[in-house]
Amino acid sequence: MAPGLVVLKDGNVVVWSGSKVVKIDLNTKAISTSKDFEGLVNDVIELNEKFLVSHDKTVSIVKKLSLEFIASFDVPRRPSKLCMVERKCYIADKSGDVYLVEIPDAEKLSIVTDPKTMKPVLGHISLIMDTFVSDKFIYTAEQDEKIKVSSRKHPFIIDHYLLGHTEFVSKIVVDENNSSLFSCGGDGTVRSWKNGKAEKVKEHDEETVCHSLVLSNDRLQYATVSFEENKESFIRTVFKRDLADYHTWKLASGSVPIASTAKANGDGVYWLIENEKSLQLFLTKDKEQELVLDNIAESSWKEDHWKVLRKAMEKSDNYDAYLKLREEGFKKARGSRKNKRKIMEPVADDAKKVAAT
Amino acid sequence: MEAENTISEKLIQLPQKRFYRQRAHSNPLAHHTFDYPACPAENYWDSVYPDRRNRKVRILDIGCGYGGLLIQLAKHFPNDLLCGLEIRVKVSDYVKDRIKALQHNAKVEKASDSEDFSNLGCIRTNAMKHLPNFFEKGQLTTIFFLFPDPHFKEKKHKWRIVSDTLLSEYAYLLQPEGRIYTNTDVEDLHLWMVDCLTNHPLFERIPDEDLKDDTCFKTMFEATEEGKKVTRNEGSKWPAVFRRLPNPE
Repeated sequence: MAPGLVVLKDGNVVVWSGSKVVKIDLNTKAISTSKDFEGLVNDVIELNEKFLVSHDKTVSIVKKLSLEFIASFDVPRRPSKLCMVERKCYIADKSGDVYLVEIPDAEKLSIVTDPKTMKPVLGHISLIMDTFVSDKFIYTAEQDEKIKVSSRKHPFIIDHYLLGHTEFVSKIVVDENNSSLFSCGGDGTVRSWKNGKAEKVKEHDEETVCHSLVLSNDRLQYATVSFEENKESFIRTVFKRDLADYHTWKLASGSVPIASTAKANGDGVYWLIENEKSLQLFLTKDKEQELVLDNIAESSWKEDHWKVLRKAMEKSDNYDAYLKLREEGFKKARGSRKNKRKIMEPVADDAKKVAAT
Repeated sequence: MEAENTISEKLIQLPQKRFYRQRAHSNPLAHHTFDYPACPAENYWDSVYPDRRNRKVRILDIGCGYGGLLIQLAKHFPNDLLCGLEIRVKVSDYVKDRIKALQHNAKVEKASDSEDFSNLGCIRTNAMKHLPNFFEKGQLTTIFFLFPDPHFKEKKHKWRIVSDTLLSEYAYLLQPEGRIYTNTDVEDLHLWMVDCLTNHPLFERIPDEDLKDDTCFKTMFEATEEGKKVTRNEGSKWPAVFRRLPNPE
């Protein structure tokens, strides 16, 4: 879907952009780039000494150190998010379904799936924008504003919905120890939920989209991106208990925050920032920020992603035109039938003449 | 003052279908302009049912078409609210106008509380996407899927109103022992729906023989426009009714 990044257990960072996966060694600042994957890379997750990379309609398993290909399996539609719990891989896709594929613990892996007959464990009628799987629940956030919480043991049992967003939900962060969940979305709000009920709402300007929500210690960090031309983007930190502001960074004009991930030891957040030329890696810690690495990869986003998503969501029916017609009492409908009769008559006469001869 | 009284006591003519014709198919995956509440709320329903009397929506007709079933069932369930969902603009407007006319005429004719059509309402929305916005967990007792669009092509199967994934949503809205009634004149669709419902762990079929005295079962055959059309063309109908089982532990 977009460039993204993830922090590994050893503290290093993996970035994906376009068709490539880039490993960054933070000590030496060395970058190692993989070969091109088929299609755009959507998500990368860590599994012991391997990576699972979802690209196009495939999930590839590669070696962590060398990024060498091990195995791959196909899925029916483009995945938007992967979630790993024990050895079970949950694959959420762009048409709204979530599939479960078990990854065996073996040196020589071979996983065979049949995309034509695979059945989802649960589904939405809408693009799934974010997923999280815990021991108890499967959380799925969709483009049609809903967050669905289903039982993990029996995914056909929906436990509850978290409703309140008025535009697509872009990211959710689950804090199960505190029965809490945080979400943000295209309506420019960041919301906190507790015990299945809405708690606090933090609003921003109209025409703003919030995304890339991250929980770090007791604070939440996210990005705000505006649809208005030449309006700057922000990275903001708020307290998770009441969503009150802690600190805000304004990004330089032309820079767009793309994705974020919390640092492994919970102390700071890595950000992938796109400027006109390429992707940069920033680290925010408390109220400080530093540029860790520049020119990591070419950015594949020549256009503003959020504008594209917003445009795709524009309503496309003729409801207003129909309402107008209705107000005029369907007069047009009656009128056009009368006209049709006039046009018909001469043809009927000709037909009679032809029949007679 | 006298003139005003005469106007409000006149019977309203029922709306005529010819001004509300619309083609049968609508894309449920597109982003239409809908009004829906952010989450289920009591006060939302007052705008749909002006004379609500603290009743709740228990019976849902998904894809209610021109409203035939709702109108036939209204008098059998005076203590519940019945709601029709329809995605097509003109058709949902027809149903709303028809309900308004029936309610008005019932008042003029001084009909009893159980026959005043005050328990009927219609909402224009996409049932595949927005049901949880309107209804709470376990709120419904009955859901009807009568003559749904078959969407014959395999790539369009995701548009079908009954599918494995959507059944979990319908189960969420139904109370245990609640029911799903289906009827169709397309045997292929009937087999598909029976297959989905049978394979879903939360639904179990009720044999047709056990439903001989069931009001809903008896009404759903002839009450709808589609049903009458099939009878006129001497087609077959395949009904199937399922109960919602309690959640496993």
